[in-house]
Amino acid sequence: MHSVLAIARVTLKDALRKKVFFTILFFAVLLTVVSGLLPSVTADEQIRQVTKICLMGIGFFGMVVAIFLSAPSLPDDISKKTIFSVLTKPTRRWELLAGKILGLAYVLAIMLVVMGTLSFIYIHFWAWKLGPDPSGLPRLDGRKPIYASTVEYNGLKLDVTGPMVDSKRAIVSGFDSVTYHFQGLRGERFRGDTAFVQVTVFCHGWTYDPNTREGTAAVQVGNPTTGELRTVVFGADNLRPQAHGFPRSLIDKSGALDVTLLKHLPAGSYSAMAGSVAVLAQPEGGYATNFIKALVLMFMQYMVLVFVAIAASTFLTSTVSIITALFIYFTGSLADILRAQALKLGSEANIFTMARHSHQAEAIGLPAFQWAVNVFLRYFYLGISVVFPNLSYYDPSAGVSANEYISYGTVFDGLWYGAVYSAAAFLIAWLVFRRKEVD
Amino acid sequence: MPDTVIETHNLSKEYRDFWGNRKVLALDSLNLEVKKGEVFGFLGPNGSGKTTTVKLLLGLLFPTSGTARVLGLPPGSVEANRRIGFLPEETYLYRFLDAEETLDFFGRLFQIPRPERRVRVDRLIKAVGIDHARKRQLKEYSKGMARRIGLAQALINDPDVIFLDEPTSGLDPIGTREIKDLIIDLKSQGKTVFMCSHLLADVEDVCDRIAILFQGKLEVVGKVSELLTEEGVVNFRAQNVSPSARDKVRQALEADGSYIGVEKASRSLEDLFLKVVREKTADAAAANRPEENES
Repeated sequence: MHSVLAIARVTLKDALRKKVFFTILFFAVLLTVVSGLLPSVTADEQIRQVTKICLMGIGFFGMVVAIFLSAPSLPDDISKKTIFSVLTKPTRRWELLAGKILGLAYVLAIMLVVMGTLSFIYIHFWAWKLGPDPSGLPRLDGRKPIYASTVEYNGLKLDVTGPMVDSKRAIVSGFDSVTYHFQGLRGERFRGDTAFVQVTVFCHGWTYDPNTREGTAAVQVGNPTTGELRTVVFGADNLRPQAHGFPRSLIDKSGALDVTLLKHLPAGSYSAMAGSVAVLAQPEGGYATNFIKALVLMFMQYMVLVFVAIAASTFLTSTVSIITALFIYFTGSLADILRAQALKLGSEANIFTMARHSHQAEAIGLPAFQWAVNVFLRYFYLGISVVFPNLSYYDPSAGVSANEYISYGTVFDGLWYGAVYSAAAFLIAWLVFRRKEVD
Repeated sequence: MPDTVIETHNLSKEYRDFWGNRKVLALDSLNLEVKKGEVFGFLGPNGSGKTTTVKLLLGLLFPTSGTARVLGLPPGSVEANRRIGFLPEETYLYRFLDAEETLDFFGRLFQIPRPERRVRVDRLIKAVGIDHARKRQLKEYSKGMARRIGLAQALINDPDVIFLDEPTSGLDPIGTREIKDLIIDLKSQGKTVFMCSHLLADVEDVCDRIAILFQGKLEVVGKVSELLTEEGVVNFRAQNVSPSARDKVRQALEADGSYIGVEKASRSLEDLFLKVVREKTADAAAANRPEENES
């Protein structure tokens, strides 16, 4: 263990004395600053843009550091023969590998802390500069949408908690009014006296009364037990989620809440309306916690890449290792898509070439060759998505910039998966390097 | 502690290409024993397998067949490495570290506690004469200075066995002298030194025993004093000899029929080395032309 720590220290010193590390850091900081200066239409968009570019910058430059510092590390030691001096000391070969990986973990942690802190301050600066959101929701937040358990409209009452309901968002269309019954809100965390519902609507026809500029939709939030009610009328901006505040006291002690979405213009103004409603929970420290969780996930992604690059470099040259690690990074980022495609392939409804166009359900015979291609591709994609690391676990930038709460489950999944994958990569690295001759 | 410090038994190393075809037999059934406290010189022309042997003894390479033991332990094992020091052919150290950091790093690998480590680092830096450059990164070092820090790192653990691969290469005559003195000093401390060298004068000066390796085969092994003695030749040493006295001795010896000359009788190591290498080269050439030999 002494050797691991000593080698890690030297690896860190190496990185910190290289120009490339500071060059990358410089460009990363530059990108952060530039992110705030890009033009954008709304304040909302602006803050999203800053967050997204900052996080993508951290992710990208971290990946560059992870791959470009780790892949050449071992091959350089071998080609420059510095490895002679280390391996003839009481150092086990796995300790050399582990020391290098730990040293790179230090480097990446430093990079994450520096860039994360800068970005965090910069994002808060922009949030302060842009002022509060008109709806009253914080500009920077980690919100958790909670969906209804039952939906009631046109006299029908539907349970929407089951797994068969396509998305718990329960988009209901073609109604005059629809009521969403929420339950169990008591256990959820809210901040302050105001709670929020997030409403997404789509109206056929026009969205404003041209004469009165009156809103076209309304949302009624009520306590089902006491009957207390609060109505908000709003201009429906098609398909853009809008938040509306209501007194938190409307949530019943049992945790129940009713939210009704209704048309608000005189009948005939528009033909149909579709929409969905969610109550927004706001766990304490939402944004900061989210940001840290995002950094933790990104760190894990770097570490997976470091393990992969080190494993590759035990039997490949440094250039080939870099290329391999980059390939794995890009393929790994697509793993979810590949997997989804693979599962569709070879099923009767999704054939490789569209044989014909039909408006009614009809069994389509699949020629043997096409069937074979489909089956091959199916297992090829599945194989790739299993063998290569699934890096879609580690892309939190969209969630953070949309102020969406990142659950601990997501973080745990990412860490667990990363740990297992890294352990496998380390095992391969050790098996190869254990008996490798250094000449 | 066993008396034999380094021991090889039919140690062979074959290099193969990617397809497993034999490229070269770098070392052919080497049997060697080095005793505790010896300074052992390992000689041979370039490509004769000296460095391969050292790497096998250090566990950097793995033998194709045969076995090797260092201090009775398998080469490359942590227990063996704890008690050995190695100075590679060229100094391969981390160029971004300075002298102090380098020695501190290697001291950490030996788990030497911090206060002790500081003392040793300081002492070694002074001992190898790079005190003035202790805070400079190694990439700024001259070849001679790099050699010195290399030697210092080989001694950081106060090893029982020291492997030196061309210890004096790149050093000026003063540096060479210092290294030789150091080797003699190590010997006086009871350490075992295994050194490879082309520089025969160095080997002759410090080694107790030598081995000459040619094309992977051990050709000669023995004590320097014995190898360099010519059979039946006696040296007379005298001071302030008058020409007449010299003539008398000469006449007496001539009468006995055994007179050769009055020059020095011991041949140099250089003569021995060249003799072995030339003989073997001639043998190898003859072996390659069997038809001509027969006719």
